Amino acid sequence: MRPLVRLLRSLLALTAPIAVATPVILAQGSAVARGWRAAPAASIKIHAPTGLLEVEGWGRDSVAITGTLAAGESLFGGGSLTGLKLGAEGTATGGQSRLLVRVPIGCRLVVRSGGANVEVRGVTGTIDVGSAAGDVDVSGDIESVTVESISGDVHVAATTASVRARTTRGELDIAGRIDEAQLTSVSGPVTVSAQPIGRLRIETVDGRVSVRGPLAATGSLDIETFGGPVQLEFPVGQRAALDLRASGGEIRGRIATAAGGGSPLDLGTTAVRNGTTATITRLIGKGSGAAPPVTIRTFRGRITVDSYRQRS
Amino acid sequence: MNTPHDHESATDVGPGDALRRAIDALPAERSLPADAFAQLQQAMTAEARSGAAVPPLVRSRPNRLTVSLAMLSVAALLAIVLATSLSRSRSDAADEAVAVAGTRTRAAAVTDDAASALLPEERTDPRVRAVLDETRNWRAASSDSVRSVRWPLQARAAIEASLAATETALASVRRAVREDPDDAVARDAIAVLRAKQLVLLQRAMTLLDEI
Repeated sequence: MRPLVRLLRSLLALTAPIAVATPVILAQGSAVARGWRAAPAASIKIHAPTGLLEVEGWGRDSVAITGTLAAGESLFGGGSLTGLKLGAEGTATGGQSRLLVRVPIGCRLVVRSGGANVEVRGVTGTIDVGSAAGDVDVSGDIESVTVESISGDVHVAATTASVRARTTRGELDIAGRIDEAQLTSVSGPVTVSAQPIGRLRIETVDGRVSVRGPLAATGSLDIETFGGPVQLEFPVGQRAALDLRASGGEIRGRIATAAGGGSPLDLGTTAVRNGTTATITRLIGKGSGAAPPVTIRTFRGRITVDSYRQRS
Repeated sequence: MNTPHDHESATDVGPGDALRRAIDALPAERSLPADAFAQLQQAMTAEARSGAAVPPLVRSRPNRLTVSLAMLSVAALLAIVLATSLSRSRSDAADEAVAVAGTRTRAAAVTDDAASALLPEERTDPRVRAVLDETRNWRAASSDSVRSVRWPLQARAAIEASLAATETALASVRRAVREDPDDAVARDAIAVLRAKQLVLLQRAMTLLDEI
């Protein structure tokens, strides 16, 4: 039996390192570095199945991609000066891709991701990101932003004319200086902290809605939820035409007045009740002229409007 | 008259005769008997038969056993290698599949429950039919291994959970309508929720094909 034992020992010694090393080798991706010429306002579409995709605007008339690909994925790319399509393809069998794509700063950018998280910064053209399960983070001074993630979170911190953001149960977090925004979720929370708030529309079924910031004189706020609670916070003295209706919920909150302006407005006692429906229709704040409308409709949710004092 | 050559030829038999004598002097080559090949064949056959009757050598037994064991151990180690390398992805997929299955079961239960309690006007509402058709299309598409190859299971679970959430909301609104048939807000809410379901499914289908 000794030769047999020796043989088995030898086999184990030979195969054990393979057993240990194989998953490590499989998990390691391949490094990529490639570039293409592109016009400053080119349309660029990037695909990222897994991992992390970072897109960064730069002042060159070219597109460069660097990073590592997951095992099983390969790099593709091509097109013309005005239209380029690139990214990773294939099915990852080990590890995750991590790619950095530099694009002309003013390009028209489209990104599609399966499970990859996407971060876009420094692009001033239009941005359109769609992801099935990845988180999306967009920042910068941008012409317009369209972002959708089915189950991931969406974060936009931008100065932009327009934001369209959508998710189902992810979190929508929008900040910056935004002229117009349409935000939609099913059960994911929606948080807006814009300076100032322009024309903003939010729709959700059960997601919690939180809006904080000054409402522009030309702005408007339109929020519709089924059961999601709505929390508004305006600076003291904010002028607005409130039109609030909670069909099966309640309305509450305190609107503080400017110094020397009298006692704060208690919305809970101001609301008019008709059966299970509570409504408030009134002007708040000071000043003259048309007040920006604030319209909130919720079927089962609660509406809270409060004020805060801005730091001087 | 004889020339010297002729004389020599007469007294000496010459080189041809000498060669012939020399050849004749060599040992005669034996020719095989006519049945030699038949005898050889019989002998070989007999030897082969007797060889088959001999039991295998004892020392061959450990060789076969060793080879078998070695093959088994290599196969086992290869199985371990494959299992190790695939275990993580499989366990993740299994967890997600369980999540999807659970969500789908809840969604189906909610859908069945809600469908049985449709309001009379909903039964003829084309939007309800559209949502049912889109839901069926979505589930077929998202189950297609080719179309949904890059669509993570958690995103599918999110769609199903969203459908379930809106169905729950619809059931709640229906109760309000039944309590107060003149509740216009509740009736509007039904239309809005149906529209949300349609948009949700259409966006999901669009992204499914784009990704």
